[in-house]
Amino acid sequence: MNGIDLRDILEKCEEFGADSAEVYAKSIYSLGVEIEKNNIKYVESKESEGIGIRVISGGTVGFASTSDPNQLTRCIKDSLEHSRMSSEELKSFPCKSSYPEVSGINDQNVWDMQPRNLVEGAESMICAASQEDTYPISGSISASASDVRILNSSGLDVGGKETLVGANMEASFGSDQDKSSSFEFDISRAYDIDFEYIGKKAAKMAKKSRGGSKTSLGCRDVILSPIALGSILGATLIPAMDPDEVWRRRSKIPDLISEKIGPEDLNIADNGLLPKGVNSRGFDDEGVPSTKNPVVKNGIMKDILYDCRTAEREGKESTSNAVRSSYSTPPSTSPRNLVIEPVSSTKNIQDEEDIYVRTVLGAHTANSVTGDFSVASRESFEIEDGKQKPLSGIMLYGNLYEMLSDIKEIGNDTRKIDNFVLPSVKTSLEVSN
Amino acid sequence: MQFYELVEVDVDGRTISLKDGDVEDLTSDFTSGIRARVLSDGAWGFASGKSVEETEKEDVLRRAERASRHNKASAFKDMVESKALKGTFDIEPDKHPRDFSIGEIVDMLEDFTDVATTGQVTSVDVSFIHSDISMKYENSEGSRCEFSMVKTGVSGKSVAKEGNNLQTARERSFGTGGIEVLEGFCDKCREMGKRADALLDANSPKSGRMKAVLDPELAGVFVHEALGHSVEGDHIVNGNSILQGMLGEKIASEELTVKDDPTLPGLFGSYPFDWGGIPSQETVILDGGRLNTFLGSRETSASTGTSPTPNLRSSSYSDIPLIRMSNTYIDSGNSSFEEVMEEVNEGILLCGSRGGQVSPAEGFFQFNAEEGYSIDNGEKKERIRDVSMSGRTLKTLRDIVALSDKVSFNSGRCGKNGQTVSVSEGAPYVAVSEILVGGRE
Repeated sequence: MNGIDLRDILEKCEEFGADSAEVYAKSIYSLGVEIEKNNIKYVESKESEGIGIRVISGGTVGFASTSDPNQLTRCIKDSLEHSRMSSEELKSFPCKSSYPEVSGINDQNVWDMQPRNLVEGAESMICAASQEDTYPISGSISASASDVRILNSSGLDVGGKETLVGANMEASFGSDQDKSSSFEFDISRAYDIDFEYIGKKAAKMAKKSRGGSKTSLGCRDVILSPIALGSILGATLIPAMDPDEVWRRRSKIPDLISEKIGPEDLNIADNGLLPKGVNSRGFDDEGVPSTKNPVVKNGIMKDILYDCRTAEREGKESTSNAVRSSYSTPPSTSPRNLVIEPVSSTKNIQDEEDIYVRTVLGAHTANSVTGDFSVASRESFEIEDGKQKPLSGIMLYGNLYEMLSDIKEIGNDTRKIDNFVLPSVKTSLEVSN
Repeated sequence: MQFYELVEVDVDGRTISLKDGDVEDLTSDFTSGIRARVLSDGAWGFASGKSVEETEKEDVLRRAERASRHNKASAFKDMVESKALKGTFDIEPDKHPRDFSIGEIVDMLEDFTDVATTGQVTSVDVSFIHSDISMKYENSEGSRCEFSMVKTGVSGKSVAKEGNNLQTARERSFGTGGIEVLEGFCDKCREMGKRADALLDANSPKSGRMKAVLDPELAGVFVHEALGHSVEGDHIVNGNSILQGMLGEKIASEELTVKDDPTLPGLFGSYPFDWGGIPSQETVILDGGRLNTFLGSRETSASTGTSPTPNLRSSSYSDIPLIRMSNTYIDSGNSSFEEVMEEVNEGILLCGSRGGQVSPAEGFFQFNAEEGYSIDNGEKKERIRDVSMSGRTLKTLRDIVALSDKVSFNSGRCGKNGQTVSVSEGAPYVAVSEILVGGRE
């Protein structure tokens, strides 16, 4: 924040009675374009900044935040009151350290971006989605540049710049009752997104998924695309790995540590250092140096991920997984870049009669405690004579742990789905209409 | 500049959670922001920034205008006239949450936790949230209006465990107002604990098409998700709704009247005027089964030929406004609950919601219920879990055969294009002649 010395805030926290304190400051500049059908609805320019304060007093930690420099004193007092009332224990904030370099997370082109650059990108995406009988429904492009700094009373002072560009397009094929739609997207740290490809792919998938036949129901071999797999894991595995849920034994994961949960060739690691990774940086949102941590190795569940507070409780070290969605939320444990290693030597892992599921709806309704999920898919295909033949809407029922242990094949078509990097995976699921 | 609009929003909020009795996630945030929408040469620009000093107003207007000048492929067509709105429209809470200490709120959350811990319930979470919201709106047509209001709420989750069998039940009460919103929540928590416990012994139903009764919570979710989203003017204009071109047509059973109304006192989706400066009022969406209007802004209404409704909303000052519902509900019918059950006679009673998905463009929906009961000879019988329902919106709207005579509301948060806004959904008990029920067996 302009004219504010973050060290003064730390000192003030201590003056007011904190045993130790931490200041997290973030400013974001972003440009965006919102697409509506063939046109641009809005060109956007957004700026925001704010400060999150954490203090420790008497062994417990409290948090408060603000975007308004005039509210800083109240913010400090709030965080102190919160630390006194809270049951969340924390001995200290992380110490000063040396940080690894991570390549490809800051692109100067994004900082220098002009609105017309994004308008041009949007026009090429619209144009590519407007094929014969296909048309764009909506889409957006955003480019943001941010500057973060973390200071604490253990002497830590770290910060850095980063950029993120995202684009998505939804397209439709046909008209009225016989319509089908689909989408495509990409996310990158640099301004290197192929907008034309996104538009083309959305249109192609809309056309490909129209109509569709019925298939035989029951337990089937199903290939989940990276998109579908990401939706399911995000609603089942990720909440089950939440260290608070594990601590409270509201997850099956603690019983599975060191157990075989998938085939030998299933390797899942979380990597805060992944070059160009969406969530990569030399340090996490508490200032802990980033590392790479195995989650599943050769099919064996190794461990979950931790930030400082959740690690301390288990007598462990932070795995550099403190993540904040904005300055206004305290850090919580989240994957940085969760990567499933590709396996297959061929890009195509589909066999006759497999069902290929590109996208699913309703994954958020999964029961993360039991791992049970039921999702709908309007974009699934049956493999017939080596080709993907569209199916009419199907429902897929499964359970995370059964789905992992039933994995038959892992593809090599990995792609970035937000902070996941995933290949297609073939497993068995219950299919119904 | 043809038109400008400035919205300034201050949100002063606090959260407190109790996880198995431990105080966690105790946070507060004060965020102040301003945003501008500028229309020049028929193209929109949007800009947002912090709002601390007066100079930032000019900066945000200048950036929005600059953005609009770059919009060389504008989607803008026209905007319906609207009367300038002037005045202050504050909604005062009965018991302001700021007058309660953190300790007093924690005491209440402890009571909720205690009553929800019953039978084989091993874990209970309760979360409290409140925010003071003040909003100022001005535009180039002379509108100058403002309001302040308080949103308060509490949600709970209990987990029952027996060996490997884990079952959860949830409750929530959010509203526009203060601590009074929490009245009655203790009873809801007691039921929540019992429900999680009872679900341990419940079975999953056989999948298939059958007659069903939806409880007010699930029927409310259905009307919000399946019908409500399909009448949002931006979906209509973008050709992304099955209801495009169906204005004035009978699309549902004659029994069915559906409204959206941000004026309803105390409900979570209430507000005095929307983010486009349109004063709140009731909108009749379905009138005896006939599609009466779409929800829309001055801009989408110009395309759909309807009147603007107070439904332009943003989840924060930095998000572009979208067409959103407020408090959406199915109006009451003439039957008693018993008559609704008798209408179905043999089938399933589906209760509560664990969320779901719809595709407004294709008219397909799927929701998971929290629990269900078999209906045998018009009577509520065996408890059922892991149950979902799915179908086609238009068919299900026509298949509604009876409605009970009392509407209940539930509060919720609705997501659209990554933006979340506060809403509520209401309905009576609803009998449907056919729905696809999914189970795990």
